[in-house]
Amino acid sequence: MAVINRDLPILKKCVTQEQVVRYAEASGDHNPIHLDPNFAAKTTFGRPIAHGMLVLAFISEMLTHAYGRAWLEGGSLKVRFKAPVYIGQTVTASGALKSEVETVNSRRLIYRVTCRTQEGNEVITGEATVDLPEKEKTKA
Amino acid sequence: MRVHRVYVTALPCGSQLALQTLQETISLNRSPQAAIISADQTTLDRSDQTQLAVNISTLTVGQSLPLATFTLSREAVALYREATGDSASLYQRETALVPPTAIAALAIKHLLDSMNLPHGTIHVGQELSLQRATATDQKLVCHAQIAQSAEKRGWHFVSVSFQIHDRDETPTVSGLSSLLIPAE
Repeated sequence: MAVINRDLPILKKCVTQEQVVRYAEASGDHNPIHLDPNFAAKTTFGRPIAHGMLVLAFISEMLTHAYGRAWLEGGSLKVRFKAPVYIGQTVTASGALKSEVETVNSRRLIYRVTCRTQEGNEVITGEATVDLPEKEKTKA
Repeated sequence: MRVHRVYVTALPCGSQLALQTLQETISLNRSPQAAIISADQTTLDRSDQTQLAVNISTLTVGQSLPLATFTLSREAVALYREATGDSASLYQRETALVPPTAIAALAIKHLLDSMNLPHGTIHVGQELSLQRATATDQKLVCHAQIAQSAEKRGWHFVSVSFQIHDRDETPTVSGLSSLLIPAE
């Protein structure tokens, strides 16, 4: 029986070049901006950046930790990619409960979700919702 | 068929940094690299896909993009989870489940590959709706359409909506990808 979280369990990830290479292989996205330091050096970024969908996966993982199958079968995300994540940066994914809405067969939890770098810069911001099929006890 | 290789990055939308970066990216890629888009044997997928490049300048709202079909093997999902560092216990208990962002990432990749996007296109926003948990080795079909297309100040703002169904035509994941595309 799932418990409602006021704050989602924080997730911290250090984005390494090795991870980005693995993600490129896993996703098929071989954009050199993520993989080639020489290419990236000639752009305004100056150095390789992580895939946006890789960082978004951290938010989804955070919600999976909190709600398991309920996330996979009744979740939603709406985010903006605000800034790039550079290789070597540590990103923290977090979420805070904004509101709860009773629907016909479920309770909808609405979270504000954010990914920030260790410098505090927001790289992803947005909203996530989870539809829980039954009333749950609110965690203090 | 000559196809532009697509480079998509995520940047602050509309910022001076974004414009400067995109100009540099475009200047570095004066000669579009010819890339044959065929059945894409990615680690996640063996896809059967109708690869007809879409002309970005003629995109209209409601226009359908080429259909994409793909499957995610257990091994590919394991690699994806390793790559993202996903340690959610759900996937350890139910090892056949696929992280929804894996499905979305693959669908988006196919969509971007099918569009004749110029260098410097940036992914500025993403929406996902998760309707049903998906198992590995399940054939998935992705339908996509142009949801929004507008041009302003030398940029195309394009939103692509997609719906992914399993073989029973049950919706699994749907989404909306927002792209900022430099106008040619």
